[in-house]
Amino acid sequence: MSALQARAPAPGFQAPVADSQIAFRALLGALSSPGRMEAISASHEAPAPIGPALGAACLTLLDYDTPVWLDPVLGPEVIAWIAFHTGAPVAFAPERSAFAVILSPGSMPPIDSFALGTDEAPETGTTLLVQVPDLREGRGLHWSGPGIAGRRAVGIEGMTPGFWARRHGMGDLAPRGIDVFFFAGNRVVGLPRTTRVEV
Amino acid sequence: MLQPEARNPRRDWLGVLARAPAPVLEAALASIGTLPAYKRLRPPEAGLVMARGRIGGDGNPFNLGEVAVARCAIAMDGGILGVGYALGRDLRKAEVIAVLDGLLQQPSWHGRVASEVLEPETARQTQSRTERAAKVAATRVNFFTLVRGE
Amino acid sequence: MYVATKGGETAIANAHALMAEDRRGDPKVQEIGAEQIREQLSLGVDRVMAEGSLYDPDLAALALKQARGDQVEAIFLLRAYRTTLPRFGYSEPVDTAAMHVHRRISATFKDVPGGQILGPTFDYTHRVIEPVTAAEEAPRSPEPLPYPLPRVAGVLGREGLLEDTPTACEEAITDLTREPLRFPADRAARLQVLARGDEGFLLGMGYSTQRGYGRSHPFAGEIRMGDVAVEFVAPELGFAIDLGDITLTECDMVNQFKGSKTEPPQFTRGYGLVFGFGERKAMAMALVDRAMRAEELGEEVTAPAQDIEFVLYHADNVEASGFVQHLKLPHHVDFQSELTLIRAMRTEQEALKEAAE
Repeated sequence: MSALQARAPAPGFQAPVADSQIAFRALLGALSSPGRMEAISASHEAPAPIGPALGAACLTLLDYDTPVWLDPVLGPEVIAWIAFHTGAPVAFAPERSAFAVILSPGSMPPIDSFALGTDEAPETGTTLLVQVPDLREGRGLHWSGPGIAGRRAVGIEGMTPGFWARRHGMGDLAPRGIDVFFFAGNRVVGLPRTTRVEV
Repeated sequence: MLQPEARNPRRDWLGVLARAPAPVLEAALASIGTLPAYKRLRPPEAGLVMARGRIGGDGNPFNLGEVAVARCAIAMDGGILGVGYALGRDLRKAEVIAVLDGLLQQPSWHGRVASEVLEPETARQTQSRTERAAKVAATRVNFFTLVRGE
Repeated sequence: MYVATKGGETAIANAHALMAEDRRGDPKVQEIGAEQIREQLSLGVDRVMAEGSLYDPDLAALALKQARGDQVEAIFLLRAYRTTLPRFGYSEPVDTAAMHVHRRISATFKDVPGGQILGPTFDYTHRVIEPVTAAEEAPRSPEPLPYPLPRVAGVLGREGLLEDTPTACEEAITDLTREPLRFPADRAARLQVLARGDEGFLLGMGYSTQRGYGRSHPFAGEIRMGDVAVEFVAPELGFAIDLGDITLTECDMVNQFKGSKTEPPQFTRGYGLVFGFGERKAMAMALVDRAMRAEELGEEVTAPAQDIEFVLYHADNVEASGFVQHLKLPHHVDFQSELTLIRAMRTEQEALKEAAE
């Protein structure tokens, strides 16, 4: 009989409708005000190393229709949790993914190896969900562009200079491009494709 | 896919439970008495599954239309995953199926749930299908030929 | 110039109250429940599910009650409701050959294997209104039905006289609930539109092909109605489970085809599949599906039913009803400008006439 037993993953949102609305609102706010910190207060029990904000974003954004690229550092417990609660198929090639879950930004694939979208369907670019050790407002690289009055200094700990240089080097692809969310603890910062970052 | 699949008892019992009327399942659960503790991994929710057909009945798939489905997933002690899926939007029914699925996976519960819930319900479903088929069979045309001349 | 107008809120609220009162009818007459509609007006419920593109008899019955029996309004309610529900995924393709049939007939073979099974049909009734519809227990046959019933198409197929249906594994199956209709529309997209398309529209289009507008010599190869299991691979299980059974009606229409440069003379097929017991719709769908294959089969495209864009853009009754009925919304300013224009043209014409005289 034991061969029949299925192992249960950790729980997801306990109030899926309300929790995903709370998380979605925070993610929307983060992307419309690039660099501004938002807190996500939706509870779940994502296995380590997935933090509260990244876990909430996964539960909110991923579904069976969005292939997800998973950081090779993620263990089977995390992969099973994401598969169970979102149903998202795993994308093995970065350029075939709708989302990417990244926990080791130092060794992530180059940003321009993910899907950039097309001029006809720019929304098909990969959205990167990157968990970093810390996020700071007021110190760091200068961000500017739509949603930012003037310039804003934003510190994303753990991102390599190579990441910023590569992103800068992609140039103006509008309307194509890649949107990024950075997570630390229960906080999130959005970096849409339209934001310029001085390197 | 072309190989005949080995019998999967869990697939079978989930099919029987999905087709069972909610009051039957509710009564079965009540008769079992004290249940082991469980927590909801995925609280009961209603949603859609896009049903597919095949062109010509046997060709390439196409999307026919959606069916309403209720589902639930629970974890029972020892980390056993119980799932419930059923057509319709009866959230309670989905949760009861998930609990019964969790029990059926445990040797200490399997025999009792199988004999008290699965077996009578399987028999009832077979009986109702057979009865319907007998009425349908009565509408089959029996052609007879009139021979003229020699 | 736009002139903002406000007001009408009270009138709208009162209109809704009046509609609710009229919907209830004479309060001395007992109110019907959704369960009664589901059980006793089941074909109306089936049509709402088919064209609402959502299989849920309880919800469709409730929608019919709320819509005062107006089918298109009930279909609209169902379509609106479905947008509030999350999508869990796609089912495995339903296996209609394994259907527990309630009806199965063939107009092409009298002695079809398994027999002609009439089922709960209106055919052969005298169409005489009966003041009381009798509810007597239907007789049972001691002879069981030979499940599964073989497909009629298989009989012709064995001789090679019937075209094969393509079974190549396509990469992505168009889903018009997730992406817009694009042209050229493949057959999967066309069938999805037809399956949720308006029965009256499809009936008219199908009828037109029989009357000579894109003639295709159809025969009802097989019509079957019955219960089919819906299988779904739950991601957490990794194997397919049955979600339950749904009722479907399927029509395999067989059409004469004189052949082309690449294909020998043979029969071609049109396909219909709908939620519930919807034989008229399934047959019309199969006729229109076949008509839309004219170009693919090298036939001349001359008739409306063969015009893929025309059929697909006009088959949906929620869209059609919305666009037709939007005309009753205030167009006061539009109309005023037209009125001014017409008056100016008149004045100009009269001035010219006077000058000429």
